[in-house]
Amino acid sequence: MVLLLTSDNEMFSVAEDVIKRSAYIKNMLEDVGESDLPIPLPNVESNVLVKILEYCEHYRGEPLPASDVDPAEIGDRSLDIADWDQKYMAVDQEMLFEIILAANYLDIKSLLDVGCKTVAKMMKGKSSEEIRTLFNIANDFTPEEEAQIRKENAWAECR
Amino acid sequence: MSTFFSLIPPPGPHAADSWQLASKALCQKVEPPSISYLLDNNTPPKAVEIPVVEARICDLIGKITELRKLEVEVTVELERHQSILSPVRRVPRGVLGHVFTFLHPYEEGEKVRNAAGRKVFLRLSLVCKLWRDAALVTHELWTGL
Repeated sequence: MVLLLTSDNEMFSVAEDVIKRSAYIKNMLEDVGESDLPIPLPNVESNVLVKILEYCEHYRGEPLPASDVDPAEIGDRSLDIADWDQKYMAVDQEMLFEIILAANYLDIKSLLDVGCKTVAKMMKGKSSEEIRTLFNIANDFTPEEEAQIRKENAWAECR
Repeated sequence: MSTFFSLIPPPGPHAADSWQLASKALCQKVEPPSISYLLDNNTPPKAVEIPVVEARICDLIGKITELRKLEVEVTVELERHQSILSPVRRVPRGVLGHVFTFLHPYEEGEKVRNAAGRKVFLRLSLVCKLWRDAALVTHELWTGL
């Protein structure tokens, strides 16, 4: 079993083959070897780790992704998401981004992809303004900067 | 109900006295009849009480309208403050770029090279400065456009 200590000081005891879906933990276990000390996760809160472990538990036994492949080069770019993953990602926006941040920190590529696809699906077909409203993002461009960007990208409008 | 004009007597030998009476009546503050007792029973209001109740209803509707306006303003302010703590602000540029890569139209595994594909990235670049930076540093987005 592997001990994990979250940012809010909650201790989790997790089966090694479950948490090894995290390349970060897997590498740490390989580097450090057997230890009774908990692995601190200062960037992950307990409620988020519960969600992450649910994912790892579901995919327990599935082959892990190869570690020597450039993440940018692999995987399909479609927005198709498996049924179970869609249900898993049916959370509020805050939790969705927390899962993405934790998946990135723990280096769980498949989960990061599912999270990114979910966000991409939410954004698909929306204007800049609609995306800002969707994610409560402030427009920090001045009108002049916005006009400049449009001018610089005028080529994109061409066929 | 007495009105100012009903208090004014027709002109006559005692007109001066009557004017004094009228002005005295005007100076006294005329209190509207109390209607609070009507709230706790089922008695129909008297004719003189109806305008008082109607005025009170108007006043309360006005207060509700004001409060609803205030609620909308406070909700907007609340959402703006909540957005400061939103995890979307903590998403690193690299991860944002990864999200963006899923937005490019693909057909049979091939990136679609047309204006529609390019416009996606223009839209993303216009969201905010962080997103523009994220789009610019994600080479995968621009190759083959």
